[in-house]
Order: sequence, then structure tokens, then C-alpha cells
Amino acid sequence: MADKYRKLVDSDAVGRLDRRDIEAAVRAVHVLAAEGNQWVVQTLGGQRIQERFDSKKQALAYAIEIGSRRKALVMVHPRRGKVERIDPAQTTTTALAA
Amino acid sequence: MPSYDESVFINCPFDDAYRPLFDALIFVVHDCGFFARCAMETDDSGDTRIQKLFEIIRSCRLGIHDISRTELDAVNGLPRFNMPLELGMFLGARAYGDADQQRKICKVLDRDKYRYQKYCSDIAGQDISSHDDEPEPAIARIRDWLRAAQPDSTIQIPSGSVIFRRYEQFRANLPVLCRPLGLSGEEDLIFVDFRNLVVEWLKQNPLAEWLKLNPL
Repeated sequence: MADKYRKLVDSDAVGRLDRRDIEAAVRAVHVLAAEGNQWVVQTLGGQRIQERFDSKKQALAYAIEIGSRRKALVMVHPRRGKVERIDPAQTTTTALAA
Repeated sequence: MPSYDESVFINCPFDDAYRPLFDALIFVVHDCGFFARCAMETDDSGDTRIQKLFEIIRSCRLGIHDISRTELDAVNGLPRFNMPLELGMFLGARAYGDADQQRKICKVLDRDKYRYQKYCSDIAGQDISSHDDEPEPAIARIRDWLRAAQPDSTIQIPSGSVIFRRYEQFRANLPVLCRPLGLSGEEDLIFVDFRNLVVEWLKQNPLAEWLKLNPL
């Protein structure tokens, strides 16, 4: 017989952050600027992914593929500045390369 | 809001030095299937702090009371008594309250198991454990206590070492999570947002699946 685990307990309590933003950030495929000119694609749940790429273009293409499969946003973390959000459902890798 | 039986009141210091232990306590409570509450969850209420505490304590069957920072304040040389006071309120609710309140259970944590005898010996006989000021033993002590406190003994609760490994993974993910949320670091997270982050992370990393992907 399969093990029975306790169910997660949640609430609708709201802090300063929008709950949908928290959920999106946890579910997202993150693309992070790494040392040198490398980029890392990382997911934070389920089958974890942590892959290193030599270019941002390669990293984005891979992240978008994973994002479309998981129906999750891609969040690009540049070395400085704001994080860019990409919806894989509305993006093609060809468009990104352009 | 979660039920009385699922709610755990966390009575602990809220300073930066204690933050690693506080975060670990919130995580282990949720990973064991309970819900963490504390005085920091409402900062916009017109209630006085003590009124807020009465309300939260009334709503929680379980209480974690960390009295490890009952010590002289470096600035004015006076002892910090908020934690023993809140422990007293919890024990009072259990002693004088209705049948539900009398079902309250608490766990007292300190740096060393017998330190309390020198400053608060009246609590002898309570369930007191030491955490050595480290998240890993704190997680193990609280996990074991929640395992015994849960009503259905057929339900599995992960071991302390599994919860600690999950907690380390969660902590490693925090810097990646903070930036898209517009935070400069995890120190900017208020209690409710941190608790929501823990819950969302646990939803994405359900235990049964996590154990398959991260064998012992």
C-alpha cells in the first residue's frame, strides 16, 4: 500500500507580495547569468533541471522548450537590472533569435 | 484559515540572529502538514500586541516556544521576557480554557536542555528540548514532536533528515526566487510572504515525488 502523507495546509493570508507572483516564480524556468558569458537554466520543483550553456540564445531556447512543456513562465535574470518574464506560449525560439 | 488542530503558534525572537532558526521552524511545521502562525502575521491591526497574541494563541492547538534568547539585552542590561510571557499565556489558556483549549500541546526549545532551571524553573515538567542554536536539530526536534501530536497515526511524516535536506534545497532556491519578486534579498521577506513561499515551494515539491527523485 502506498504511504499516506499529510496534506499541505494553506491559507488565503496576503502579505506584501501577490500570491500569484510567488506561485509563478516557484513554477518558473529560471535563466541566470553565470560566470564568464555562461548562462544557467534552472527549475525549482519536480524533476529538477540545472543546465549550463555557453550563450544566452541556447539557454533561452532550452528554457522555452521546458517552459512550454511545464506550462510555466521563463524568467531571465540578467547580471544587472530587472528580471524579464517570457511566456513560452506566446514566444517562438525564432522570434527570440531575431 | 486552517483549523485549530492544524495550527502551530510559534513563539520566538524576531531578530536577525534568530532568523535561520525561525525560517527552519516555519518550514518543518509546513512540511509536516501543519500551519505556522505567529505574532508577526498581522502588522496592520489596530489591536494591541497582547490582544493579537491572545487571539492567535486561542486559534492554535500546538505551540512552539523558543526561550533560548531569554538573556540580558546588550543595550540596557535587562532580560528579554516576551518568550516566557507568551509561554505562560499558552499554558494559562490550556489550564483555564474550555475543552478545546485544554487539548493544547506545547514544545519548549532552548539552547541547552537544562538552562531553564536557572531562570524559569516553574516550567519543569514541560516538554523541553535543546536545538544547540542550529536549524538541523531544531527541525529534528519539532518533526518528532509533530509526529507524536498528529491525530492520525497511519499518516507518514518524513524523517528529520529528509525535511532538513528539503529545507536546504528550499534555502538554496531563495535567492533565485527573491529577484523576480522585486526583493533585494531574503531579509526583505515578511513572515506571511515567507510562509506563502514555503507553501508554494512545497506544492511544487510534494514529498512522495521528491523522495522518488531524491533517494536516500
